[in-house]
Amino acid sequence: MSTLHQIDRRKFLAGTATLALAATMPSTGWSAPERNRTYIVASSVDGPVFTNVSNANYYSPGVDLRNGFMYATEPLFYYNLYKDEVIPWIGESFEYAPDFKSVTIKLKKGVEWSDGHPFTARDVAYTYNMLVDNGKNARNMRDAAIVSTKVASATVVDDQTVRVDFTQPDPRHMFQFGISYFAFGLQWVPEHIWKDVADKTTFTNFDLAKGLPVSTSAWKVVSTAPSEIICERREDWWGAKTGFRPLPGPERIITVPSGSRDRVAQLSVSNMIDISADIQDAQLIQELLRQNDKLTTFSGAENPLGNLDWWPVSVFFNSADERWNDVRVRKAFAYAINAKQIIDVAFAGAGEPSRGPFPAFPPLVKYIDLIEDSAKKNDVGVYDLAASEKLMLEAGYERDGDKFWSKDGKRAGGDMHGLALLNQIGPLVQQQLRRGGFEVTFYSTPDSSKIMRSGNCPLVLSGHGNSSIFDPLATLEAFHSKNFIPVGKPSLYFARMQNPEYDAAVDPIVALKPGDPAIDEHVKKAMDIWYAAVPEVPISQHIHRLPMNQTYWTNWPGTSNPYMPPAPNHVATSTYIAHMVKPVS
Amino acid sequence: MLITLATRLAMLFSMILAAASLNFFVPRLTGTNPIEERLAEIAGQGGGSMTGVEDMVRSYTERFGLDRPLWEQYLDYIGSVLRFDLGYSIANYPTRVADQIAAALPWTIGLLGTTTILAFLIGGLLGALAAWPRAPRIFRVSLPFQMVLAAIPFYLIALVLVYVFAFRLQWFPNGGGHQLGVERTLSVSFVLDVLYHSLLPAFAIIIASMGTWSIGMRGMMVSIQGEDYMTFAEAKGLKPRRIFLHYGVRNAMLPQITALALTFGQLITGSVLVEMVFNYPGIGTLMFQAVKLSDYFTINGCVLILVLVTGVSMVILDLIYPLLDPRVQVGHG
Repeated sequence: MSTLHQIDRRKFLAGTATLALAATMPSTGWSAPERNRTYIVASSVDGPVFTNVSNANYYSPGVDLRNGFMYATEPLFYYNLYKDEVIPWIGESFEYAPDFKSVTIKLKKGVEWSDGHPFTARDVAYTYNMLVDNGKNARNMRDAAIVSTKVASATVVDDQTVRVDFTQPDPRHMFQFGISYFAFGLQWVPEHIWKDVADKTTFTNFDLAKGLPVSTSAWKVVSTAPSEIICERREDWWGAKTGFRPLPGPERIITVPSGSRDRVAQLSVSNMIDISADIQDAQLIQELLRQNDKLTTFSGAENPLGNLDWWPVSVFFNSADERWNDVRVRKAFAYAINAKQIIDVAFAGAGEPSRGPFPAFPPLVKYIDLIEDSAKKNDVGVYDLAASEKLMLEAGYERDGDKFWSKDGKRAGGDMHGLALLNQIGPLVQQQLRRGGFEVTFYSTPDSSKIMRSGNCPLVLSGHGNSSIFDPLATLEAFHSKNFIPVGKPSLYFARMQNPEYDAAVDPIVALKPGDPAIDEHVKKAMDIWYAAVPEVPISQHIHRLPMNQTYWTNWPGTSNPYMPPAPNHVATSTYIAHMVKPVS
Repeated sequence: MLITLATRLAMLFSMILAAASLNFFVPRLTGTNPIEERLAEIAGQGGGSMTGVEDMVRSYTERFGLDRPLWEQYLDYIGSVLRFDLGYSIANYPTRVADQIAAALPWTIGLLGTTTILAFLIGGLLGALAAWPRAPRIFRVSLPFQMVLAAIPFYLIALVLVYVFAFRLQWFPNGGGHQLGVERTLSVSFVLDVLYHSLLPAFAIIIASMGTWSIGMRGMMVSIQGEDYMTFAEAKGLKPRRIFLHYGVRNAMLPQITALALTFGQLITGSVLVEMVFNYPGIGTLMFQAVKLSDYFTINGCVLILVLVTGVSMVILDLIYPLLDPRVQVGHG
């Protein structure tokens, strides 16, 4: 008691205030960059800050590659889908065996890791074999299971040549593992470091003082925090030394979490960032272009104010939910959706309705044309409430007091979950369906992605994950019974479709190389079944609408120079964009 | 004194044990497998595959001990809590929960701790002046405005401030804890930069919360004005400022201090929306992401900190009460 009274109150308060102030000071070391040599990216992640910023182990289950670590990576090859062109990077070329049971990859000479060690075929083979070994045994590294399913082993032929043997013919192997585009492509690890790591799942590959993560990239990570990840250009980058490419323009790359749509808009218009994650809202993009004439989009100020993404948006029926057992109900539901109105209202007309599950990328357009007859025959994209009513009456439904379709006391419809990215169109879809007599309620909550994946909702409003880009197989396989996962277990494919006839039509494509004319017939057959089954209602092609700022950097990808889709959340291609941009001054 | 201290610490220990137990069981009631969810989330980011996910789930379920009977997990967890070992984050493996909290906590304390104290001081002073007959009329007139502001959630005020001062006038940055790419050390320039970035969110919180403190303080000031000691102070001929501060405010603020200590406990939960609006990398953001990803161990860690902050605040309050009010004797109720 007496001791307490001897403490001076003023000293006590002053001490507390000092402690509170001191506690706000994070620590690390970094010097301020010049803005006109700094490339600032707002990358889309789950939440307002980056997580796991001290983990650069690409094969750890907890890592999120969409933060700035992606700039400290380099692929063997890039892929420009607009020109259907493979771009060699640290790889020189590749050639499949005639039976597609192996691929031989040639690497560039003179490629070096950031610690000075040469990058050779041993590193590529080590990465493959590490994943194969893990996939066959512990199965606790990311990508290990799928790699071990498809790869038997990788063998070093010489310093610049590696042969990868498959477990079965795989003419798409390089497009899954060896070429980087969107989120595809393996990350190559330095054998001389990783071979001594006992537990590769607890290895963070991160120790800036020791130069980790070691990379062949033109940038190295120099500072990380939940609020930003900073990479610095390596003046000793192998590409400049060998004459492959000049040193890239950005001396520093700062990646920040994009946060909300409003924040991205404010950062863009005030020139604080150079490129951002997708903000979707066409009206907002128009307003940004009005406020800052240095801002542009992939299509400039013209519609669709962005670039086509691999994520065509649909309303998916959860086939495992018995309320969709009757195909007439699914078809009636589809008739009640007016996709054109949705695009006009939500995106100010800046978009195109989709006619099926495929993104309209150049390599896929011929398949979209091929199935158009089937789409027409099945009235895809037709808004017709009378036809909807006819089908519902045939299916035994009646309008109840609130004008909703009802059968045996149960109303047609249900909860429809979607990501926040689609909250512009979700309420419109809901309202159209309610007018058509379907009691649908749209939800977009922090839990929605979990609910969508688990199948615990009858309807999902979403794009197609892992969609086709260069050939139709990936999208077709999303509806294959082998990818069916029961409700309660997470699935990437929301329709949860099972149809043996459809499977039989898709299976032969697996052994055919991309572009093989024989694929056409199988696609047509599979899509006839698909359209008749109505597993989803196509709404729109997905457009990535993101502002790119020309105040400090030019040569952004665009309609006249479509060298790569620009979205920073495509971890594989962000580094390529950073190589291509040029400083204004 | 020692007996009182021991009693308080025993109560604190019991409270932590009870809260930690609830904290263990509640997240597990959701029935979600956090490992499965995390792997699906990653696969869903594009280019991923669900092939082999079941094996990975099994492997990490074993590694995290989630395959063992619940009672065994519980005993392990309590043991870990007592050792202050918060384990690994499930969603951000192999990052340790303690490291995540250590990185996030300073931001929350810096922003919300400071603003809470400032709102308490400013609101308390305004409330006291509103009830003080000799104070200018403006303090009485301002009370309804403060009540209106108190009724608006601070994240809405924050959005208005961001729009006006950051977006339109561009006087302040529109988010983040500091300028992009600056050196994050204890240098004067960095401290000033952090303070500059904290001004808008700080204003939002202070404006929205000082009304509550003001109303409470005004009520207490009104009630103590008829007390004998106030009459006595006036009869002694003391200066009005001395009567106001030493006799009025000092006695009226005691219930406010108790409320302040409880408010500190709510800082973490209350910080979620503010941190989301301003992209602050604090404990609220950490907890939001942990709940979203069903990251049991990070949720447990954050809630444990919340419980500790509340409990320790109350114990400290108990111990420093005699400093604020000499009538209170430690050990004598």
